[in-house]
Amino acid sequence: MTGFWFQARVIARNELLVERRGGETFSLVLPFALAALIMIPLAIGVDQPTISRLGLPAFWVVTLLFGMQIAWRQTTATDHAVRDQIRLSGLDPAAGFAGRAMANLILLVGFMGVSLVLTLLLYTPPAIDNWPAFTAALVLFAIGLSVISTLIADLTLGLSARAGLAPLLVAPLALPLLFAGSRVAELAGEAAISRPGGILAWLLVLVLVDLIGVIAGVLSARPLEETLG
Amino acid sequence: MKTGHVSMTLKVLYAITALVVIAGAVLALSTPPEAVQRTYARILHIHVPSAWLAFLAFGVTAFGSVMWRLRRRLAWDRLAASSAEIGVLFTGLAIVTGAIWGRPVWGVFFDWGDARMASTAVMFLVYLGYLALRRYSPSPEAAANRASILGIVAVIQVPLVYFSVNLFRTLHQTQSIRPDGATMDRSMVAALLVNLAAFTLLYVSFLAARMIVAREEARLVAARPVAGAAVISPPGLSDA
Repeated sequence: MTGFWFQARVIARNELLVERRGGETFSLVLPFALAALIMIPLAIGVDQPTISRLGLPAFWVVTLLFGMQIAWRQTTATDHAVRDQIRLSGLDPAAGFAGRAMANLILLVGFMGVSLVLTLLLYTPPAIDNWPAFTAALVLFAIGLSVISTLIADLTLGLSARAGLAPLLVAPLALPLLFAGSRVAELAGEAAISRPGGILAWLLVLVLVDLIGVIAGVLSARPLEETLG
Repeated sequence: MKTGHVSMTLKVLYAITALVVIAGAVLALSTPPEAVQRTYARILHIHVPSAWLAFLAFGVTAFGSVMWRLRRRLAWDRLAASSAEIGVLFTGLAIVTGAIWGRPVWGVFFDWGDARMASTAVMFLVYLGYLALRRYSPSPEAAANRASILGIVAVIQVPLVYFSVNLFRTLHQTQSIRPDGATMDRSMVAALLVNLAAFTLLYVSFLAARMIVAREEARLVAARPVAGAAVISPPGLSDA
């Protein structure tokens, strides 16, 4: 195989093809996340202003907690035989990481799109005036979460306690994403439209976390491959 | 050093640590009360050294992790793991003492809008995850391999937490001791510096003791009989 991006695309395409057959993201993870989005207003009761105010924060939390599960779905190439085969093919481990992260990103964007539409319908959150900033925050959040989740998915591969351990590792690492994403959403509302500087600072935080995640993932890909054997 | 035997060097270290810790406590209690915060300000003599030690401990964890990846000697991994445990302890202490101080002075135990507090809590959780990753790895080598990567990546948080008060001007004040001078009275600075030294010695003592325990644990695990260990593979299959 030749070329970093070519290898990454091949891996991403393969992951998405396998996921299309298994359908875990959209038939298991997404419905469970939607159930959580429905349960929150039920727990709050009939207080519509509170439900409205909690809409976007609930969206970010649900996206973080359920979106990270996309990275360690059963249909990823976690089987040792599959990984051995990929390694013997001469694949650059960093390209493998990039490919898996790209596949997770595509699935996560779809997941977030459906979750956001349901949030807007169920919660009627305050109007968002600065849609470009909000969209940028969504995309940067998705990139960061997919990169961090992929890194931790690789790090916990083969461990018996992976189902509990991986979320424990991803959640705190992804908290800056949640923090910055929710602040952008808040500032993108009509009440705060006159504060573009604040939005830019939080978008930069998202970019920084994404960059750290990408660099950490690419640099640790080879040591992780040696580790997992 | 024999098992269960504490060397003379360590005894001297522990004795010096105890003396400096006592001196730090006496100085912290004898400095005059702060003009506004009164006696609540004394908690900074525990809070600031705890936070400093957390940074030091996680830095040592990253160093031990890098050395493990370069040299593959389990002693480096034990250094990383022991330091992370102590770092988590002192991060927890920094959070708790900060909360105790924050309630009377700021009116809240914890403010999630504050960059320093939020980033410290995140760092605490990440290193709890680091310890969990070690615990659930199947062997010492596997734990070292996996945890070393997280130990190196996670240290990025240390400068972020330290500079968070400069990057985001929220509730937490900026550094009290800076290159251009201190924002506190000279007697308070002296007491704080002694306590910084005391806590650093405490860290070194804890680290030395924990590494001895970790080494003995590794010996015990290696000496433990394994089910099926007496079974010998047939000739010709052993190298397969």
